[in-house]
Amino acid sequence: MIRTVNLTKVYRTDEIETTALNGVNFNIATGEFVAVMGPSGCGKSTLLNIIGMIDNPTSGEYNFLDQEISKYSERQRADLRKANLGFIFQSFNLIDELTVFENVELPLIYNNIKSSERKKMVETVLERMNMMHRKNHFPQQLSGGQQQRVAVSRAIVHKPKLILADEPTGNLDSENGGEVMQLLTQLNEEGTTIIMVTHSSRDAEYAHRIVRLLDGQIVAENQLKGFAV
Amino acid sequence: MYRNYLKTALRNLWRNKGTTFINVFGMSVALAVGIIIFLYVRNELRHDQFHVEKDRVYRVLRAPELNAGESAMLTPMTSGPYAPHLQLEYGEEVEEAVRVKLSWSGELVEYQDVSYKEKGVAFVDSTFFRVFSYGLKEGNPNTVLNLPQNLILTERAARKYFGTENPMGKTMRVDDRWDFIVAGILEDIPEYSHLDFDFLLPISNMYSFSWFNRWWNNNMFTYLKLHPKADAKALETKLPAFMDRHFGTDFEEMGRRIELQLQPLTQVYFDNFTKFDNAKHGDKRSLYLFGIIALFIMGIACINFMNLATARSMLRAKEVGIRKTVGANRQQLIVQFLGESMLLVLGAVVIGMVLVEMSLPYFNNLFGLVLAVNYSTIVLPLSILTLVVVVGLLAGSYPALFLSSFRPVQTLKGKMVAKTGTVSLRKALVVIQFSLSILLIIGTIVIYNQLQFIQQKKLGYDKEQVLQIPIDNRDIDQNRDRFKDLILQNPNVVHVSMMSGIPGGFHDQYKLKIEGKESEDWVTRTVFCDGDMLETLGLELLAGRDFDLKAYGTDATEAAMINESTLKKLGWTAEEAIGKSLEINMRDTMPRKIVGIVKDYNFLSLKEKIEPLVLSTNVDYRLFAVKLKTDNVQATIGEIEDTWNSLVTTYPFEYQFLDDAYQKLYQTEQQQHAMMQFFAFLAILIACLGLFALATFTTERRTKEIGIRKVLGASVSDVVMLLSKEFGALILIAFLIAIPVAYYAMSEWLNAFEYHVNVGIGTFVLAGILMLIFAWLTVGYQSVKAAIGNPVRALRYE
Repeated sequence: MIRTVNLTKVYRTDEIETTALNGVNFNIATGEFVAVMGPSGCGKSTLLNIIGMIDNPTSGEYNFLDQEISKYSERQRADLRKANLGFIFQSFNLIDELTVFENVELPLIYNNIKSSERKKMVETVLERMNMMHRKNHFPQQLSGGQQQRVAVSRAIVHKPKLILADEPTGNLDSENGGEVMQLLTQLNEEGTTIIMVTHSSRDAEYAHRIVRLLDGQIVAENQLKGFAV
Repeated sequence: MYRNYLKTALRNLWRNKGTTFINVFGMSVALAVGIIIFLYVRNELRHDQFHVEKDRVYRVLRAPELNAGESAMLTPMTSGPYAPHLQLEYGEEVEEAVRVKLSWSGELVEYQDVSYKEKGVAFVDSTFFRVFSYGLKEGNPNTVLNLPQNLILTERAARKYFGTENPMGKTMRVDDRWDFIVAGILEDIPEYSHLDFDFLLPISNMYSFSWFNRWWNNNMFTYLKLHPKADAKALETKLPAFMDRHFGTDFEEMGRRIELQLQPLTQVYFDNFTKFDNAKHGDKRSLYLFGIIALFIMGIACINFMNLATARSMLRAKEVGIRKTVGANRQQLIVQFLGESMLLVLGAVVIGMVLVEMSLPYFNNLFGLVLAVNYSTIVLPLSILTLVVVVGLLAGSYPALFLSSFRPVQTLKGKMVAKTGTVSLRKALVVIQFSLSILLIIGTIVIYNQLQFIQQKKLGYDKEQVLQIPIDNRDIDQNRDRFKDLILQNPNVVHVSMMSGIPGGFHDQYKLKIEGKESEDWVTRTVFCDGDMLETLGLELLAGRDFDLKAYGTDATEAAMINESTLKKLGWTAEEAIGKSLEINMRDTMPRKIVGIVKDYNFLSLKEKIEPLVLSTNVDYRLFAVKLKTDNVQATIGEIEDTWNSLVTTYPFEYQFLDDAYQKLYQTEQQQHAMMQFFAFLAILIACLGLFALATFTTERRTKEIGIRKVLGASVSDVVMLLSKEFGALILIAFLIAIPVAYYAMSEWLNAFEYHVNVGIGTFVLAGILMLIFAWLTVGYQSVKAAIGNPVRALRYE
């Protein structure tokens, strides 16, 4: 599903040049659950952002579903992104002015799905996340765990092929965190590919494979479970 | 999708009620100003546009040379023979010619026992309706003016004289000598017509007057309607020959010429350079002035909008990031934010319209206008739509482009820092706002200074407690000496004098023959008066003596005085001038001796230079000037009215105070001042509202910095200084930008006055200080609040 060749990302300011990714070669098959680990500043999030097409590599190739997209325009990437990707963030990133329902509905709107169908899809996912009773609440009225369940709902409502999770349990207590990890595992079992950046080795154990990054390079890969392509 | 945008927008606006209020309120006030000024400008610009054949109609202007080679003035006043001769001699070009003789002082109009002195009485040719498109409700436009006894009146006048009665066929008496039969009823003359009248009478009633047929008796307008293919410019080039044919020998004798010009009908209203012109005129300068003010104020409101939107953009950054990650592209975000700004503008337009409706009566009253919003046409919704789109785009485009350019990576990580570019743009916009506000303040101060100057200027005559009573009917003309004697018996009347022109009013121009200057062409202004004018008006005698008709029996025919300017132009000393003789062309049959020199006084308005003036005792009295004691003024006027009524039976008593008449000369400027003052206030209010919001925002963002500074030992005043300094610097820059612009613009404005104040440094300093005070009051509250806060709280905030 994903193949990167010599992926490099360099941040430049007036005085300093920081290499966040330094020739990363990385493959992910459809249906895989991969955890990316490493210390702060090792380039985990940069890698995730590039894979998520919300950032561009400085050089190197990035193939997504057999399309070389490092040269794609902003618009082409937006189209690809909205159809195929779902994001889950550490800080939930819900829009404060929108209700639970409206937040979850957002990707469907940008995918031009009809209103009646949207309603069905959002309700289905909220039922599944056990958040139906909160659909008219605003994010500020929810607990952290509930907010993350809304964020997960939003990430999966349009049935993306790939979910990118950036420390999804970072702001949650262990009970809520465990619940989110259960959810991700379930989604993966249903066929969704997942890439998760995490600091927590406990969370990483849910994955098939752990990729370890240090100073912008892959230093180790551990296959935890068997995975049939 | 749009529902989602709308919800986000409305909830966002609601959450930031303060900013929303400032944006919507500022914008609605600005739009209200814009709409009112737009109505005013449109009303002014549509003068005479309703005449169907307006593009073919011209008014004939005469351009006489004042002295040889000096073509100083243009006048629309022509005499009776021009119209028929122009049509006869240039039949190929001229399709119709029409004369319009408006009454200067008004005519007495009577129906049974209802009588009024009517200003709007016009004698016109029967071709009138073939040239002008005034709507006739009753009567046949082609024939109604053919019969000399026919009269046409407006619906307004019909109501005034006849109430609900049908006026057609009724007899009305005009000027106590002509009886007319009502044969036509006009729709009321629109307020956007340069000719304003209530009664039309056939000019054929004047054919029998000998003056009517003289070429040298200019007291009416001549309009020409040209054939569709005729070229006005080409016709104009043929007119010198026309003048030669009719004035050839006169021109030779005078040593000067008069030329004719054709003024397009649609330009008549905005011409205020013609002299002796009693048509209605507007001031194009006011139009520009208010147009610019409207743009200024709307600009300031748009800047508020842009500044607040970009300043607050950090708060929207997360939303942009999320929308982008879930698939929004940049265009969609631009559409969203532009839509949001248009929504805000739409709200502002609605509130603005309410403000317009509330304030229009006040404006109309203040400026003598009849502006109204027309709700019945498609124009209104279309204009509103245009306004929403244009202002929405203008104010929303920058924030939309700015916000939509955010990279989701940065916004979601909360790593968003203000780009320095945005901050300096914001500062530049604030500088523009302040420059515009300072410009308006300076404009207001300069106009105020000039008005004060006009009030306090030593005019050379005493305008206080002087009543002017026109001599404009036969009754009073026949009894004028008796009237003067009778009112002089009143102990509260100090002086009475009869004269042809009062300061600020009309003064004739005549050709002179002066002893020793026979070879020179002399044309001066004249005033004809009895022996009491100097005392009544408080004029000062420089040399020689005043007229004294009792002591010097010959003064009535043989004496004249000149003013200082005449003396200077003659190049004589007072001693040399006194005793010299002069003769006023067409007035005198024998020479007069100069007996005195009068100190210069502003007998015209302050917009004009004091010209040479000759005072003479010829009998051509057009008004009384009555100097009153300061006690019991109203009672005295009542007594004078009683005296009038004992001598004059049909004509009502009319009077005006000289100082009131003086004020009226500067009515336009007074209106401009009132408007400027009001709009400057609004501009500053809106700019300061924006500044307040911006200061709140900046201070919030600098809370941590303030905390650290305080922990390190900064005092409250240090922090207040720190926060105020930034805005102080912006005002200084704005001030430096505004000064040259204001200097140039206001010097231009003042140039319309021959006598005026100068735009001084004091004005600039005052404007700068005022702006600083306003801005500091706005920013100061926020600064002090931040400065006295507990530093620990400020630091915990991070």
